[in-house]
Amino acid sequence: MATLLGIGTSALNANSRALATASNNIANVNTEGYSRQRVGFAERAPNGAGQIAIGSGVTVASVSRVYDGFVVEQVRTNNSSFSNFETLNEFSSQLDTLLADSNVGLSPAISGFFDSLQEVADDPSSTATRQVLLSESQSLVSRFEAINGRFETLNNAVNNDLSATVSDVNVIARAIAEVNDRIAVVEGGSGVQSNGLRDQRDRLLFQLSEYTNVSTVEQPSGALNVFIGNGQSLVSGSFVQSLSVVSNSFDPTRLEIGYVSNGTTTNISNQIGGGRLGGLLEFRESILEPTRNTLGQIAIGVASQINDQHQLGQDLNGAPGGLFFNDLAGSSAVILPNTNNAGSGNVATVVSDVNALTNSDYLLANNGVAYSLTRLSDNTVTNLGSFPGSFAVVDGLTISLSSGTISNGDTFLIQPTVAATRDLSLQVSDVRQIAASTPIIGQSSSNNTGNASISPGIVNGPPPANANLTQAVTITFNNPPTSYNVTGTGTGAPTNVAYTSGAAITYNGFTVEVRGVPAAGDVFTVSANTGGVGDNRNALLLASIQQQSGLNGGTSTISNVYGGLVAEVGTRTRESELNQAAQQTLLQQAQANRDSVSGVNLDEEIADLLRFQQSFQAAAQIISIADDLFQVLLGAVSR
Amino acid sequence: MTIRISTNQFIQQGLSQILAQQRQVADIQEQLASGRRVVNPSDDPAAATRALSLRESISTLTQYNENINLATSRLQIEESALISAGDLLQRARELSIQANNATQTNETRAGTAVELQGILDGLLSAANTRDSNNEYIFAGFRTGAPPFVETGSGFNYIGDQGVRQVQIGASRQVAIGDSGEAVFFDIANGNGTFATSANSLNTGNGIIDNGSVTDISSFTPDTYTVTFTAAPAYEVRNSGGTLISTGNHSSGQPIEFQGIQAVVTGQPATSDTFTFALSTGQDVFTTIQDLVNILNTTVTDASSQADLNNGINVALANIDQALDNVLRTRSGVGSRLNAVDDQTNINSIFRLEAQTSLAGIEDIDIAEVISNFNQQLVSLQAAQQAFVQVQRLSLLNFL
Repeated sequence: MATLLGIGTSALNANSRALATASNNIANVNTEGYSRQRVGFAERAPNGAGQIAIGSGVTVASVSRVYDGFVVEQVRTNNSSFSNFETLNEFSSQLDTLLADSNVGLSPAISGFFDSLQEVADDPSSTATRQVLLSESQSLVSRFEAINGRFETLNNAVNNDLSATVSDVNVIARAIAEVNDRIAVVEGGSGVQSNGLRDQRDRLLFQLSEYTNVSTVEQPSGALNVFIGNGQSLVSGSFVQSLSVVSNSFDPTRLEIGYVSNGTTTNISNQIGGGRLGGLLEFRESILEPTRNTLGQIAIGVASQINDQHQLGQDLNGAPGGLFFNDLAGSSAVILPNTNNAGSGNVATVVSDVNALTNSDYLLANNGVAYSLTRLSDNTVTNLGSFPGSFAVVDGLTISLSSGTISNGDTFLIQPTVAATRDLSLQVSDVRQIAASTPIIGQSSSNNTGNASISPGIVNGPPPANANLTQAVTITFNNPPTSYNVTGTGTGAPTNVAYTSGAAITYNGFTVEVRGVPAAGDVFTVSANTGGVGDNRNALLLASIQQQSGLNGGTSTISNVYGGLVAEVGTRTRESELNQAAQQTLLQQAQANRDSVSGVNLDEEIADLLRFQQSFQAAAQIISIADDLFQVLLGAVSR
Repeated sequence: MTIRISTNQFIQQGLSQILAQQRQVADIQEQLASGRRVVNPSDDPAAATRALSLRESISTLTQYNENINLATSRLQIEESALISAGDLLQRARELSIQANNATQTNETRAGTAVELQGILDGLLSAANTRDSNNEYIFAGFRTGAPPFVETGSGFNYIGDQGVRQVQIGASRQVAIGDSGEAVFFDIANGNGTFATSANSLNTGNGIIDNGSVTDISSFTPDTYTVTFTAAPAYEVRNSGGTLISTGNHSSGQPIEFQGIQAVVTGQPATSDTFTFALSTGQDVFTTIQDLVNILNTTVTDASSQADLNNGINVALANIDQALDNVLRTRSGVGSRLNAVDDQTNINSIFRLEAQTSLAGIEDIDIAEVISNFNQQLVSLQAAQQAFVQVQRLSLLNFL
C-alpha cells in the first residue's frame, strides 16, 4: 500500500512537473530565442531486494532544452553575412540615388556648363551669354560641393556607426562573460544544464553576430569562449578583451577598429569581416573612398582642361585669359605622413598630367635601400630611382621632397584626388574675364595676288603662352613662291623656309597654316587680335573639351568617367542588394531549421497537456485505489 | 528535412510571404506612378549609364540646334544686307550706263551724281549692318565698332579678316559671317586680271574699254603702257621699258599683245598713253566716289568727253566686279543657310533617336506593368487568405 501510495505520489509529482513544463513552453511561445523544454522521465528503482522487483514509481530525471548547436551556429553565421550586406546596401544605396539624381547628380550640371560655353561661342561679345556661363559654372561648382557634402555626411555616419557598434560589441561581450560566470556557478560541471541562461547567452551571441563574424568554443565548465576577426579572443570564460576605435596612422579622421589586449591596442580593421562592422569598413574602403576619388579626378579633369585652354585665350578686355577654376591640379593633392615617421621630411605632389591621373591613392615608402611608390588600387609598385635627389613622375603625379629628410621606414600616404571635389572653386568673377577669343589672328595682305589664304591661327598649349605670342610676325613669299621668309620678334627671322600648302607654321607659341598657291611677294601677317570682341575661337575650343577623350590615358571624356562611376556604384549597390536578399533567404532557412528543432508548437504542447493531464488523473486514481485498498483492510480488521 | 514546425514559424512564414508580395506590389506601384522603369542606377546599372549619356547627347543636340538658330538669324541678316548692297550696285550700274550716254549734259550728270552719292551712303550703311546683338556683322572679329569709316582721304576698313564659326554638329562648324574686307573692300579692279586706264593728259578722244584675256598662258603679269608714238602707230612697253609689241590702231579695233586685249574707240593723238595694269584690290566705296567725282567734272570738249567716258568705263568695270563679289558672297551665304537647315534635320533625327532609346530604357510598358500589377494583387490576396485559413486551425477549436 505504501508502495502504491509512493508510486502514485511520484507520478503525480512527475506529471505535474511535466504539465508545468508544457505550460512554460506555451507561456514562452513568443519569447525570442526560447528553446522548448522537455521533461525526461525515469523509472524509480525498486525498493528492497527480492525475487520480484517492482519499480517504485517515476521520477523527473531532467528538464532539458531541445537544442542543436550546429543549427544555432548556422543562424549566427548567416546573420553576420546578412547584416554585412544589409549595411553595405543601406549605405551604398544612398550614393546610388545621389549620383544619378537629376537635381543633385553631376551629369546635368556638366551638360549645362558646356552648353553655356556654346552660347558664349555663339555670341562672344554678349554680356548676357557670359553671365549665363558664369552662373552655370557656379552651379557646377556648387554641385561638386553638394556631392562632397554628402560624402562627408556618409563618412561621418560611418565613423559614428563604427564607434557606436564597437561600444555595443563591448557591452555584449561583458554580458556574455557575466552569463558565462553564472552558468559556471549554476552548472558547476554537474551535467545539469541551466536552460534559461544558455538561451540568454545564445541571444547575446546572436546579437553579437549582427555586428561581426563570431566563432565559439565551449569549455567543460559550460562557459563559452568567443572569438572575432582572425581568432582574436573577445570573451574567455568570465574574462573580456575589448575593442576600441583608433585613428588611421595616416589620417586621424579615419576611424578604424582597435583590439585592446594587455594594455596595447592593435589595429585589426583588416581582419574584421562580416556583420555591421565588416559592412561599414567595406563600404568605406571599396565604395565611398573610390567614389570620392573618382569624383575628385573628374573635378581636376574639368578644372585643369578648362584652365589650360582658358589661359591660352584672350578676354573681353584684351588681356590674356587667367584661371577659370582654381588650380586644383597644382594644389589639391593631400599628403599624409605616417604619424610614426621618424624623419622630418615633407613631400609635395602636383598633378602634372591630368590625362595620366588615376583615382587611386598612393603609398610612398623608404625601405632604407630605395624609395618606392605603391598604387593602392592594384598594389603596383614603382621604384622611384633617384628620388628624393630629383623629383619623380608617376601616373601624372610629380612627387618631390619639399623639406627635411626622410628616414628609413618612413611612409607617406598620397591622395591626389580626395580633396578636389571639396576644393573646386570658380576664379572668374567678372563676365569680361571670360577668355572667348584667341590673342592672335593670321591675315593676308590685301595686295596679295596669289590665291593662298592663311588660317586665323591657334595658340599652342600648354600655358603659359609664349611671351612673344602677340608680336607681329610677317611671312613674305620669295620669287619663286616655293619658300618664304619670316620676320618678327622671337621668330629668329628664318629665310627661305620651304612652303608646303597646309603645313603647320609655328612661331612664338602659335600655329597657322597657309593653303593654296601664293604669288611671289605675297605677304601674310600674324598679329595681336586687337579689338576682336566678336572672336569666339577660344570659346569653341573650350566647348570642344566636352567631346575630348582627355582622361584615363586618352580613353575617356569627362562624362565617360562620370558614367563609369555611376555604373560602378550602381553595380556595387545592386550586388549588395542581391547578396542581402540571398543572405536573407539563407538566414530565414537557418532560423526555420532552428525553430523546427527548438521552437514551440502550441498544438504539440496542448496535446502534451492532455497527455500529462490524463497521466495525472490516472495517478490520482492510484492514490484513490490505494485508499480503497486501505479502507478494505481497515474494514476487515475492525470487524 | 524539417519534421516539425513551430507555431511562430508557421505564422512567420505566412507573414513573410505576405510582406514579400506587398513589397512587389509597392515596387510596381512606384513604376506606375513615375512612369519610369529605371529609378536608381542599381536597378539596372548598364541602362542607367546609357541613359546618362543619352541625356547628355540630347542636351548637346538641343544646343547645336540653338546654335543653328543663331547662325540662321545671323546669316539671314547678312543675306539681306547683301541683297540691299546688290540692289544699290545694280542701280549704280544703270546710272553709269545712262551717264555714259552722249545725250547727257553736265546738268543731268550732276543730278545722277547726287543719286549716286545717296547710293554710296546706302552701301556704307549696308556694310556697317548690325545684328540684334548690336554687333557689326562685316567687322570680322572687331564687331564692337563700325568697320567701314570715311576719312578725309577715302575709306578705311578697320575690322579684320576674322570669320566667326559656330558649332552646328558634333564635328561640323559653319561660318556665320564674312569679313567685310573680302565682301566690300578687297575687290579686284578692272576685269579681274588687269585694269585699263587712259592717261588724263591725253589730248585725243580715244576711249578704252575694260579689255579681256584671250590666252592667259601667254600673259606675263606686269604693267604695260601703250604709247601712240605717231598716231595711229603705237608701241607697247612693259614696266622695265622693254618693247613688247607695235601696231597701227584703227578705231574699234583691239590692241592685242601677250594674250590680252582692249578696244580703243575714237582717235588717240600722238603721245597719248593707255595703261594695262595688274588688277589690285579696290573698295566699292572708292569706286562709287570716283564715279561721283567724274560725273561732277564739267565736260567742255572731245578730250574731256573722252576722259569722262574712260572714267565711267573704269567705274563700270569696278562696279561689275563689286556686284559679282556681292552675288558670290550671297550665294555662299545661301548655301550655308541650306547647310545649317540640313544639319538641323540631321540633329533633330539624332535627337529623336536618342529620345526613343531613352524612352526604351526608362519608360515602362504600361500594359505589361498593369497586368503584372493585377497578377501581383491576386497573389497577395491568395497569400492573405491562406494565412487566415491556416491560422484558424488549432487543436483548441476542438476541445
